[in-house]
Amino acid sequence: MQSSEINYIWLSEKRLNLLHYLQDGSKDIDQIKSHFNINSRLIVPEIKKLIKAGIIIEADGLYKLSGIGELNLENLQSFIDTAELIEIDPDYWENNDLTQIPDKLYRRIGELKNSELHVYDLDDIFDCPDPLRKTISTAKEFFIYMPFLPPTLPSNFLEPIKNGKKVCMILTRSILEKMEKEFPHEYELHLNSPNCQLFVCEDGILRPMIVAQDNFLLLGFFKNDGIYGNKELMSNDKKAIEWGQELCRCYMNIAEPVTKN
Amino acid sequence: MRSSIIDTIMLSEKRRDLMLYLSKGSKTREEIVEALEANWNLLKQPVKELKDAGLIFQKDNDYRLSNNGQLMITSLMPLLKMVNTFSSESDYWVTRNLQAVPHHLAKRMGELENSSVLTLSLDSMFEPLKHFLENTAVKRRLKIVISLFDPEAPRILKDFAEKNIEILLIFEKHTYEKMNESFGDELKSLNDYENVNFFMIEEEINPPEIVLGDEEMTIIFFNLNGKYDYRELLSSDNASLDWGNELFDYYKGISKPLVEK
Repeated sequence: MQSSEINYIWLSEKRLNLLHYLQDGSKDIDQIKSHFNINSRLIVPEIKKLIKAGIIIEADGLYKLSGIGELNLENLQSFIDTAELIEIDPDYWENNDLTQIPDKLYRRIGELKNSELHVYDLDDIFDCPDPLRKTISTAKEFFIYMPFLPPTLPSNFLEPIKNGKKVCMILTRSILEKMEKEFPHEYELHLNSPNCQLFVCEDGILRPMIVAQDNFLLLGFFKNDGIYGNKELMSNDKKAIEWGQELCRCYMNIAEPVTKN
Repeated sequence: MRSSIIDTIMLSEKRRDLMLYLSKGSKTREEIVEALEANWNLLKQPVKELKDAGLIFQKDNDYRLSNNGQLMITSLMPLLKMVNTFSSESDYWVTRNLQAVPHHLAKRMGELENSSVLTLSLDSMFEPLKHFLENTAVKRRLKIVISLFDPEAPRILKDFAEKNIEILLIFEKHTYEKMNESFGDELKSLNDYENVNFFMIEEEINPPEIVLGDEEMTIIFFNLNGKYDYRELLSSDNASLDWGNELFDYYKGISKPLVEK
């Protein structure tokens, strides 16, 4: 595997910084010099090398990333993002069951890097976590996947549904039946509202719990031994939220809509 | 901001090669020695460093990537493959216009690493479609994006339509208009076949020409001036074909069916 080019960029913080700077757009040599507070003698050879490698192109005295350079840099960033994500809590990521994350999202898991891990104690494990409770009232859109039935779930999203927000909720077959039996009133409100789409998917596969709102993301992974962890991932970051929504859409595609009979 | 996991992977070719080899599955010490063509004494240190970083696990004589190691290698692959792709034919890739390739696929262009760049010879340079179809076996289906004006296309494709091959044909808008002006009847009679479906991209993008057979594919990316320079990319491996199919599906998704039957 040829990877000398990556080494070449990665090993020099100077080159990497230059590339990041050019990510904003074309710059001329004076802008580059003053941005890095450096003289031509030091920076020009670097630029020349990067031009030779096809990463930077020069046109009319302006330097910019080539298409290839841009793509390489973005892929390098995804790789860095993944490392940063893991380094938040290596044990957590080592032990999470990620087998139900589709390839295209698994590859991009670094997009979750701007998130926090909320650790539950015995006394609050049944509560709706604060950040979720605070964001529910202002969210406009909800994508939910529930592999179990937290006591707060049946009523959590009734307000938004009543207020015309869009809720899309996927439950496993046994959780759907449990909700219908134990919370018939709430179940009916979900089923009958034009604002709520209910989906059901078969039991047997442990997929992570997802609450992806347009302003907040909550993810709960099972561990590799099939036990639900005591940590949940929370984020207000746009990229993380989009990742969560996309995951939920993947699960929606393999679920069936629940219809009134 | 420098991540220690990344340094562990990037700052030593040995460690990286070891991880790339283990990404194929669990390996014994003997297998590692053979694959990396190195003495175990020279591998002891990198193995220890990877174990300390939590990127690989050892059980007796077997070594495997940890989940975090797998995650890191998976997110490194798009970059490594892209560098491979681009560095083997860098003058070709540096001069390609890739603007019509959607971002999520552009980032995965490394999947084309086993494709080869071919310069069409004088006698076939104006008939890339014909040239490709004469040199490949098509049994089931053809997926084509036509971006180059090709007077011969309707006649050639009719032969395949006769043989009950399913043909999905996406036209770039201007190419379609031009061809319809000169060869309207031929196009219509081609589209009359049950197994032929026409689509048109209405957006002003300049998509590459794509011909996807059952087991082979050619893509003609235009150069930076948007011109055809008689070079094409030829592929027959699964990763390339999957990528090509995804690109085709993307164009199909943004195009409209043409002419009611």
